[in-house]
Amino acid sequence: MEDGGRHARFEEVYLAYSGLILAYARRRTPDDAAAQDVVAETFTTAWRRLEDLPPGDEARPWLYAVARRVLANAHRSEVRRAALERRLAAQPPPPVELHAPFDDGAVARAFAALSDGDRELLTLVGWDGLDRDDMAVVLGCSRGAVRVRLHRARQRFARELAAVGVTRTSRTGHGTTRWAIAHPVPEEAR
Amino acid sequence: MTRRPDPIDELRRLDPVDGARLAASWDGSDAKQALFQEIITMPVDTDTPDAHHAVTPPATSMPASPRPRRRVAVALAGAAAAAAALAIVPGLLPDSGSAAYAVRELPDGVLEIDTARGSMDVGDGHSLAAELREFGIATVIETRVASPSLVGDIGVHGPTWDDGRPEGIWWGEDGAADVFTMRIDPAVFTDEITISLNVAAVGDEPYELSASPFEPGEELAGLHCALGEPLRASELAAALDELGVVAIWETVTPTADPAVSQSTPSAGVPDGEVRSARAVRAGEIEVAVVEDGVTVDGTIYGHLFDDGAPCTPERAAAW
Repeated sequence: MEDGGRHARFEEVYLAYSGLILAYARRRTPDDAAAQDVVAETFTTAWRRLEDLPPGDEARPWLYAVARRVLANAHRSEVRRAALERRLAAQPPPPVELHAPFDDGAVARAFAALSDGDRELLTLVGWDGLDRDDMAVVLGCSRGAVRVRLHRARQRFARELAAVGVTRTSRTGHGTTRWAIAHPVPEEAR
Repeated sequence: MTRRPDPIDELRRLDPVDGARLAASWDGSDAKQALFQEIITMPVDTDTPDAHHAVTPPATSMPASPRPRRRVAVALAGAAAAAAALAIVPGLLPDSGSAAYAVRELPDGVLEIDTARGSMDVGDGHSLAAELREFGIATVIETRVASPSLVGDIGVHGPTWDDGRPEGIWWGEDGAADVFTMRIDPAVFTDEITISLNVAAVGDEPYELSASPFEPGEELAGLHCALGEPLRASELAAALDELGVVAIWETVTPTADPAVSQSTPSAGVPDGEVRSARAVRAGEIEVAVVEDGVTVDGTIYGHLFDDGAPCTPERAAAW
């Protein structure tokens, strides 16, 4: 790929997905600087391996997969992180307001009770909005495996929700089946 | 119309990051532009250590085999040596509670995988695959819907292996302490490993792999013990009716070759002895019956009680 084409392709991908990858990373890192480091690592890899980057929307799960691996291998990028943090320190990142404190409420408790693997699956769907095909790419497994794992994770989450007092309610005819807090759970019962 | 409730709906409101707002904020930032400029001035050198270790990009990460592949079946335990893949029986393995397999690099560069440490869940297969990929071993995952007693078993094999062990990969001999320890020399073994994971059926999905429904862990475990030996098809049919289990009946007859029998679907309940059964899906089994007066080779259609489902008083008492 010639230089002009490389730049154009990379810019396209960077503009389209760096914000999503930042959000993905921010949900999994303690602060904005660490999240931006993940973005830097991810798109540095994309730049170097632009020929491997799938076309169109397929780039998205590819980038998530890279970001996921970068997060897992964060310890390997200490040097780059330090350099990046020095650079970003001169250009304060946009503030991120967090909402819905994670330790608040029965749903959070149920979610916290799940395994790391289940939480990752569920957040890829619920927070990052990935579909099964994308998740298969991100996780490096088959779509069928995603389906089964996700089904199980949902079931386990439902069980945990029920255990903390969040149960299913349904009302036919109005399309309003939902989860709701059925009863308070005494502190000592948890 | 009622939508099935999804717990993920609840999860969404816990999202600690408003992705859209964060992305919008990032779009207008100097940091975004600075990072872009920095990256595009980096040299494009895919042989740098960074490019190697940073990621294993999906679908494009499997190294091409530099030599012709041999078809070799890998089994980690002797009991499965004749099979194309090894099914590790969970009950035989110590339950370490470990969430991941142990892949460690020995001083000589050989990778040692203690498969017995893993608990048999799908996630652990992925953990093993991820760990192997970390060490540069091309690993793919496949899943097979299995009947309950087989769920969680993991097979390790090469998609293009025929027989014997591939060069650069080995494991302990039968009966040896390290029978569940696989070793891979990445300098020699450059083929691909497939990890087959037996997973549970969802809903009424048919099983791709199934055991006798009477085996421990299966839907009808021990029922044949309670019904007694020999088990008449009519007795089993009555029991299945009560349980709401559907039976697909077939009769077994001999062929000109005394070592070969054949089975034929039967419209009704055959009048004979149940010799074999297979779980088809939840609530449905396939039953092979040898009708009275017919003699077949006992190798395959021997006796139900020897068909992987030996009886004990406890199993009978459960019914």
